[in-house]
Amino acid sequence: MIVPWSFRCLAFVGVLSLPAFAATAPLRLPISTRMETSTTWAENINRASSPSDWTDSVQVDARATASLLTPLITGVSLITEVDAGYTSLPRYDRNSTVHAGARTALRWKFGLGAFAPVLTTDVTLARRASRLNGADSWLATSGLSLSKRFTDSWRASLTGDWAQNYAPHSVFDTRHHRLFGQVTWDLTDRWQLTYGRGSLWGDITANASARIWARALGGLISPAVGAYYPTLSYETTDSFGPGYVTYRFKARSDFWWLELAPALGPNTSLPLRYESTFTVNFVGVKYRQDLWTLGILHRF
Amino acid sequence: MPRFLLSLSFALLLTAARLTAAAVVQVHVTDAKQSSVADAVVSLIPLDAAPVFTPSTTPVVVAQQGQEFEPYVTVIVPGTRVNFPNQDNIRHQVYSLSKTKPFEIPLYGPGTEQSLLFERPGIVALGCNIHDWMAAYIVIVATPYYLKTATDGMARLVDLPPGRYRLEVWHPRLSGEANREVTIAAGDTAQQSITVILKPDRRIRRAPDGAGGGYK
Repeated sequence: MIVPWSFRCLAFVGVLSLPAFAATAPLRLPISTRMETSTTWAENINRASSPSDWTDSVQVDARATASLLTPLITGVSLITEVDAGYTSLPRYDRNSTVHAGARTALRWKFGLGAFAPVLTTDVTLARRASRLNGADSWLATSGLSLSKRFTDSWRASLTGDWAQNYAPHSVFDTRHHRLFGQVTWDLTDRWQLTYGRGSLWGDITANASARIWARALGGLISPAVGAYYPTLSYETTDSFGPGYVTYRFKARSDFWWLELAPALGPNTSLPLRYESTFTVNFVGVKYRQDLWTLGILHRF
Repeated sequence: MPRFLLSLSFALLLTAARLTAAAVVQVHVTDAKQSSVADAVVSLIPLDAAPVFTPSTTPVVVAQQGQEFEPYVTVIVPGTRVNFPNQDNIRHQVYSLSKTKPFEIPLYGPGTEQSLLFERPGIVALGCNIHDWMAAYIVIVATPYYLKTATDGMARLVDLPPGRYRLEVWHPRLSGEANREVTIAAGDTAQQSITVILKPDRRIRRAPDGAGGGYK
C-alpha cells in the first residue's frame, strides 16, 4: 500500500534540534555546513535472490548537514549535527524516503596535529518517512571509530557500529551491526583513492516477485528455504512491481568499495564509487548487489 | 686657498658618504626549472658585526580566513608579537609542534583573536588541530635585513650597510640549504640569483571526503 509522506515527525526532530542552537544565537554560530548529492546506478537494487527478479535502477540521494564543534576538555570535542536528506528511486517511487535526524559525537584527539590518532564515538537518531505502508521508522545508531593518518597522503580508519530501525511493521523493524575499515590515499592534492571493506551481521530486508515468493514458501527452491521462509516476517508491498513481497531475514553481508574522488576546488569533490555487497542468509540464499555512484560534495 | 679648502672638504665629504652609503641587494629566487619562487624568505646576516634589530611595536597578523592561514609565510625578528585573529565563521585551534616555539591555543571562535610572542629565531610551522589542511609558517630571523619574495620571485633589500653578509634563502619546500656569502660595497645595487631545489608540494588535501561505502 502506498501512503502519503508524513512530515510530522520530521518537524519534531527539527524542533528538538533548534533549542541547542537558539541558546547560543546571540553569538556568531560557528556552524559548518555540507551538502552532497549523488546518483547511483544500482544493479539488483531490490535485493532479490532470483536472477529473474533482479531490478536495476537509478537512485538519487541528496543530503545537507550542519555541524557545531564544541570543545569540552583538552583533546575532547563534542560534535552536534543535524541533517536532512532525500533518497529517490524515480522508477520505483514508493521506495523513496526522506529523513531528518540529529547526531552527537565525542571526538578524542590523542595529541596535536594531523598525525594524532582520533577516536570518535557517536549516537544518531533520525526519523525516516517512507511511502511504503508501515515503513516509517525511527533509526537509532551508535558507533565507534578510530582513525589515524600515517603520512601526508595515507590514512586509515576502523569503524564498528550498531543500528536499530524501529518501524511499525515487523518487516521493516531491523537491527544490525557492522565492522568496516578504509584506507585513503591522496594520490595528489587533487586526486584521492579510498578502499574500504567490511561486514554486517543482522536483519536485512529483501524483495521477491509474487511468483518467486510462492515458490520459496512452497519449498520449490529448496527444502531448507521451504522450511525457513514461512517463519520470516513478510508482506506484500508492491515495492518493485505489482505483487512484490518484502521480507526480513537474518544474514551476513560482506561489502567493499573503491572510490576515486577528484577535488573540484578547495571545498568541493566529485567522488565516483563502486560498491559491491554480497549477502548470504541463514539458509545459504545469496544476494548480490553492485552500485556505481557519482556524487558531488560541497563544504560551505 | 679658501676655494681649494672648500673643494677638498666637499671631496672628502663625498668620499665619506660613498664609503657609508647604503646599498641595495636584489635577490631573485628560482627553482630547478628556472620558475620564480614566491614565499621564499631571503635574509642577510651581517658577518662583520652583530646584527641589531628592533621588533615591531605593532603586532604582526596571521589570520584564519576561509579556513586557511593568511599569509602562508610570515617573517619577523625575535621579540615580535603575532596576533592570530579568527576571521572565519567556525572555530579554530592553532598550534605548533616546532622546537622553536611549541604552543597550543585552545579552540577559539569567530571574531576573536589570540596573541603570542616569538622570542627565539627559527622556523615555526603552524597548524589547526581541527582542520588538518591548514598550514602556515612563521620565520623568525635574527637580522633586520630580510624580505619574502613576491610572486615574481624577487626580494629587494634596501638600506644595507656595506660589509660581508651570509645570504640565506628558506622556503617551506626547500630541500637542503641555500646560502652564500656576499660582500656588499657602499652604494652598490647588487643582483643575486639563487636557484633552490624544492620538494613536491604535498600538503594535506582540503577537499571534503566522500561519504564512503558500506551497506547501510
